Amino acid sequence: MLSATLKTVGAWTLTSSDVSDPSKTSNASPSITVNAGAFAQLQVLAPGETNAPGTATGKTGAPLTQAVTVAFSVTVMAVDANWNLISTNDTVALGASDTNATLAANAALVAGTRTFTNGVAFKAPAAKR
Amino acid sequence: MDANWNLIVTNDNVGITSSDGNAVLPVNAALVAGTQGFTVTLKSSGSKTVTASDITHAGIVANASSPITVNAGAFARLQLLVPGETASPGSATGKTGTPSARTAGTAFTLTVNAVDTNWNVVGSVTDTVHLTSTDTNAALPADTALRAARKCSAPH
Repeated sequence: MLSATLKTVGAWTLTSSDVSDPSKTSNASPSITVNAGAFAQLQVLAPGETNAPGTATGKTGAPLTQAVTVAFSVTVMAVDANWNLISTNDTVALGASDTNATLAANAALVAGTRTFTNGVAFKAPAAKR
Repeated sequence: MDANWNLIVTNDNVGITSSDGNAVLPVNAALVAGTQGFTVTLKSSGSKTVTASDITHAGIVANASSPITVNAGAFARLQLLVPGETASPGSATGKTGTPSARTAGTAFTLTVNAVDTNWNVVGSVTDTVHLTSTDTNAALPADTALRAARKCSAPH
């Protein structure tokens, strides 16, 4: 049987077309509502990154360079396996590979998301995450 | 007709119905000297009947035709069915139902039919079909040949 997997929350259509004889009229489905899957993971977005649900990495863009000791904001999102937002109020904690970084305290997500405003400040000059 | 199928001269009004619920039927019309011609268009393939009933005198026994075999017309287009939809050959849209909601990341089965202009499956078609989606992140099957004598699906 033919099988399709829609990965992005929203309303989407599918269309079939005849490759052998393009003169035959193609056919599109009505809109198909796609809901998020189960809560599977957290997603951290640093400045310069944008959520891109349904994609392989779940985000676009690259983190902007940050100055040492200057605080910046990060956003944490609860997402399914395909990076679609999940509404939950779980409490999340921030960590950093810079063990001397200043990090915001644990906080609960609101409807699956939380922006830690000026919640991170690195202390050591290096590429961190 | 009388009980022995002899023509009776009458101008009773006659109605036409069909076992094909999608058939295009004529309006009721009066017999002329006991007879009248009607034009019927059957839309659904299969075995169908046409029935004439006397509108003027309901007590007159209606008469159904012998089964009429209706074949699909020429291959005209594709029909895509997703979960929640069911093929309805001969109908205006060719299907009933509405797509049921899906879960992101969960695969589901769909069907592609080669059909005539009235959405009847044309079973002899083996054309290759291609699927696209407005969800640019969707995982879709490779181009696949329709199965002759049935619909689509992966090759045998």
